[in-house]
Amino acid sequence: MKQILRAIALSAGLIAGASAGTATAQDYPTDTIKFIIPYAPGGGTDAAAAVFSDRLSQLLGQPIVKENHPGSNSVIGTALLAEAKPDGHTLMVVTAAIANNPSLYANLPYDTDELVPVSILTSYPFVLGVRSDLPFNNMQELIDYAKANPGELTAGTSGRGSAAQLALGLLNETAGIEIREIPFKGAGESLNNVAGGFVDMVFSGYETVRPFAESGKMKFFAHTGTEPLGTEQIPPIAATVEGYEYLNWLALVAPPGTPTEITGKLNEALSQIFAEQEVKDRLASQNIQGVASTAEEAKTYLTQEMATSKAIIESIGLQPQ
Amino acid sequence: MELLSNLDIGFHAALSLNNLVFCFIGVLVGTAIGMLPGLGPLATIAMLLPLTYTLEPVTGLIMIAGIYYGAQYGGSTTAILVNLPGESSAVVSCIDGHQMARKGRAGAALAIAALGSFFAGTVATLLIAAFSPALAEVAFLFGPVEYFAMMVLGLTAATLLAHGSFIKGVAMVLTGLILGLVGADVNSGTYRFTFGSFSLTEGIEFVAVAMGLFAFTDIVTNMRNDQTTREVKAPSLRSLTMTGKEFRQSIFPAIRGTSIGSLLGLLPGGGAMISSFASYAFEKRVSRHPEEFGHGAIAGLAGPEAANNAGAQTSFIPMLTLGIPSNGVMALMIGALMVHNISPGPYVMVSNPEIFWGLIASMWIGNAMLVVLNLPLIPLWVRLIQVHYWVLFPIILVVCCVGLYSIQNNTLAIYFAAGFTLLGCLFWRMRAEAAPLLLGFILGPLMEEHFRRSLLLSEGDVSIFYRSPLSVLMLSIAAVMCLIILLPQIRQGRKVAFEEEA
Repeated sequence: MKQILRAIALSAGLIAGASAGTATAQDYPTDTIKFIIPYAPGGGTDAAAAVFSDRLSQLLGQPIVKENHPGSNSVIGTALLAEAKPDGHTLMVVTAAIANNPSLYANLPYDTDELVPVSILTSYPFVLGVRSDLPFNNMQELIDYAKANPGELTAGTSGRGSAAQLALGLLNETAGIEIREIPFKGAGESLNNVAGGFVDMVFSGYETVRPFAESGKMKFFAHTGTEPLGTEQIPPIAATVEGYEYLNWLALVAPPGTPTEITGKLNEALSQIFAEQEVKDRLASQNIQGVASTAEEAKTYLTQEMATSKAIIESIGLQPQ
Repeated sequence: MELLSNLDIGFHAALSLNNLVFCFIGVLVGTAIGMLPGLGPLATIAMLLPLTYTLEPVTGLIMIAGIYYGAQYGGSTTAILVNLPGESSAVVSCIDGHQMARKGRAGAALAIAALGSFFAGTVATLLIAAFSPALAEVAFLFGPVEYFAMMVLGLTAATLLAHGSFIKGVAMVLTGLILGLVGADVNSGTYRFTFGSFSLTEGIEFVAVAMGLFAFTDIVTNMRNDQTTREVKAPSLRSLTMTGKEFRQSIFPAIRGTSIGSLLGLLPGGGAMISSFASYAFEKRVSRHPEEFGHGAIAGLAGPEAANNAGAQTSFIPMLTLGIPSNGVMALMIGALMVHNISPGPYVMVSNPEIFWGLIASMWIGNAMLVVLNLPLIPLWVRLIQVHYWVLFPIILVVCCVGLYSIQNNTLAIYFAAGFTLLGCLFWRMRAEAAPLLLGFILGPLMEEHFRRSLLLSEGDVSIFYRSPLSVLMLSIAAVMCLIILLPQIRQGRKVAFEEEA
């Protein structure tokens, strides 16, 4: 019993100690680095972080621990990051949600502009998975069908402010069609409903649609990027609907006021990792593009994305709440 | 033989060293907590859930399942030896099992319980393997409309099958439903009852509700009893063998119990406990010597023991094939799957056959392990029951709180669990069973979600609910069930049935 208590006390001490390190930027990192993952454990972001976090830990010479703080489209985790010390020992791996949230929530507990983006790590398009018994086989036919039967087609999304909802909103807007949105709790459920024939299509990651396409329940003939995708050479929606582009991405973000020496050091290590053949192969097999941008590029990209998201969210008719 | 090749995949997965070890840990922990009154499988699994996040999905599920059916075995051991139901489904085993022990047949009673459970477990495992694929084919026909109808049916059944007063059952389901509404609404994204707090946008933490209402409440109510005089005498276990007569007397009750349990396990809100009560009532009715019941009737032990184990096993079927939890433990299993990005439903069988069949194969292996574990280790287990509550309870509380904290790395869940403990004690004083609340909490929001999604698809046309034959069928059954309960004759009968068991 005593031993158990001691073990608990010890581990509590370790956790507390992890954030208490004080050091100058030159020596960085001097302590364990904590990655906040603002999603439930075991999700896609965990898996993506695993691709580079081990190598990053080796290069920096300090262990990296992951801490999941799920909730509210990443708001809860981001609020924790915003309060952390800007010494580079607390960082966050987050999706494009961080750029959408300012247009979705009226009272964010942090200011997105003050956060310090370290790097855009990866970016990837959504594949449009379509129920296989629908009478169209390319984007042009889909649009013609939607125009001839307004409001008939439906698309599953992951609810308010989700990337899939934005991708759909942008398609409706740019192609001048009306595909009705059916919100689900997550991509898995909407995929099942498309495969079961209750909903017509879904925007989702390539890896999630592929098994359904292989079993013949779905077909994919378009994606949200700009270049032909993967071994199947799936054409982009942009080839039919000019100017259409929607990419999901993953960024490493630091607390407000993190010095450039620290972000510079992280960037250097990250670009080295993403240049390695093994990492490239791993990402390529899932049709994910490794980016590893500089901090400045990341900042510009985030600002751009916030503006784009705002425009899409307004066009869908969502109000911040 | 597709079934054989499927079972081959399953045994291949389940027999890997890692999975065998976690299966063993599961049944061991399950037996232990099953024996300890005051700590049920729901609370234990809730506690260990954070641990499974780091395991392979199939390994995590094998362990959880092991705890669940292990608890059914453990619970009956305590019931027989010391007349305390270690687990709620073992209440019935106290009646005749303990009487047998007092007559010096404790060893035989334990052997009957263990072998009856093993038989039921084997049959139920085969049933799951044989019928799940067929059910999953049906599941492909389930869209939002059918899911809505099924939730209605499930909630109705849960209310009707609840213990005690019907009105209280309805009240508990509705309370659970309201609590389940907290958080972001899936269809519109609007926040409900969050009081401006971001921590509440994902809803109230399910594990906190379960721990508060069950684990902590049990501890508090146990504390009310005088713990110093708890009599724990390990009966002599000279022989674990039963006589030929005892064996013959237990065969048919075990077979009948297995059938009853397998059927009732499929129902939402059913499972192990209802099965054991139903089997006891049934055995008493068909027995040629009903006067023996309550005085060590073998049929009164063998039937319910087989039934509760069969019920525990077949309650996996709705969860595995449709993604619908028939009880709290199944809801936690769904949570464990979703953490690994596997959305429960008919596709699990297609997309992750090693998880589906591995779990089924592990159930059989786990049942075999339990027989081996249970019989020779009984003297050891008896010592565990003798551990004083003043040692046990603080340990349980600390471990639970660590588990609650680790779900979201946040203390809020602990406060919620404390609040639900108060509520749980209140319910206990009011003699209102909390299980329907949990089902309302899980099924209610799902029912609303599917209802609104159906209307969204039909653009507001209500006729969508009666255009689907499956939906019409399920809604009609629910309506008939409501009617039946309103008929005074049956209400009387139900009351009698429950009083007999109490």
